[in-house]
Amino acid sequence: MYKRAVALVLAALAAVPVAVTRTAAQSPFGDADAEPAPFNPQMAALMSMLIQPRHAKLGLAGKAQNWELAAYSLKELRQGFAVVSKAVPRWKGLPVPDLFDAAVSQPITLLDFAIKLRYQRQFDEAYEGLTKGCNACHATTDHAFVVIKVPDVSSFPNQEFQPKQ
Amino acid sequence: MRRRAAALVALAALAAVTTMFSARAVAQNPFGDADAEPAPFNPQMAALMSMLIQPRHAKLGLAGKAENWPLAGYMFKELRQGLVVISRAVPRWKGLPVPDLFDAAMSQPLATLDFAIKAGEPRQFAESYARLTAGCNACHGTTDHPFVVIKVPEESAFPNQDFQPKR
Repeated sequence: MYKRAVALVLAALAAVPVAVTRTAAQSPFGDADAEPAPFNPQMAALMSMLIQPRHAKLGLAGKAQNWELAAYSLKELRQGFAVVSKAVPRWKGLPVPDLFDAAVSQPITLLDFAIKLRYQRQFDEAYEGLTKGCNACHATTDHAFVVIKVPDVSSFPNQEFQPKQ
Repeated sequence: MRRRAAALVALAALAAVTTMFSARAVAQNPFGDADAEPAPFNPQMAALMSMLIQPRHAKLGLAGKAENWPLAGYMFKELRQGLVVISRAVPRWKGLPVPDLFDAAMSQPLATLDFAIKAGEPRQFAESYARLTAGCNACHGTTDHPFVVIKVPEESAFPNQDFQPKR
């Protein structure tokens, strides 16, 4: 009798917290019956969607001396920074527009000149400066392990970067 | 009198400089204001193309090339859905009717692609996919973006996805 009672108590003790926990937070990913929430991407998602691909396309276009595409990609990249700044004006308390301004404004201006002049060497130097700006900003924001580099190959196999002959 | 005029000119010049500096202070940063309220993310044509269309076009081509018809069927559906989502998000772009542009450029090759995928016909797929790709570029040409040239992918850009069908 005593043994049975002990076993029952132990079973009850073991079962209750599990049941309560599972009911209160069944899935760590949320509640299937909740209202759908608007998609509200934050810094990491915006960087991956708007900045990293545009940085790569700009580099590939400049490397191919496709100046029309490079100009378009630069405009889009600059626009991407503006969109990210508006969506996340402060990130971990830091002023995002000011971080971008400090990191990329100068190389972007130089890139703009290089593209308009169709000057490959100037483009390469300015693009290198832009890429360093990315990494400087990552370091400032405790993300030094996210290292951006000048792309060696295209990761867009369905896009032609060579200019039309 | 002359001194007074000089003083007034100096004052006006000072005011002009002050205004100039105030304007710079207001819009000093080309990327925006850190103290502004966060704005909702509202991606426009270029971002939507890069997020929803370019990767799906590539995946569709890679799936078809590998004769992975279930995946090709899925990518086909996703690509078409992407065009619908963009048409709803940006119905007019630079005054042009986006759903009509997509319809003119895509509907016919999409219909033949659908047929090719359902029939498991690699040659028909390749032809239709090439025409779909030509449709992308025709639309880019119409919208003053001929320098964005889409092509049939030769290799995968998705190192964490297998495009070969399960044996």
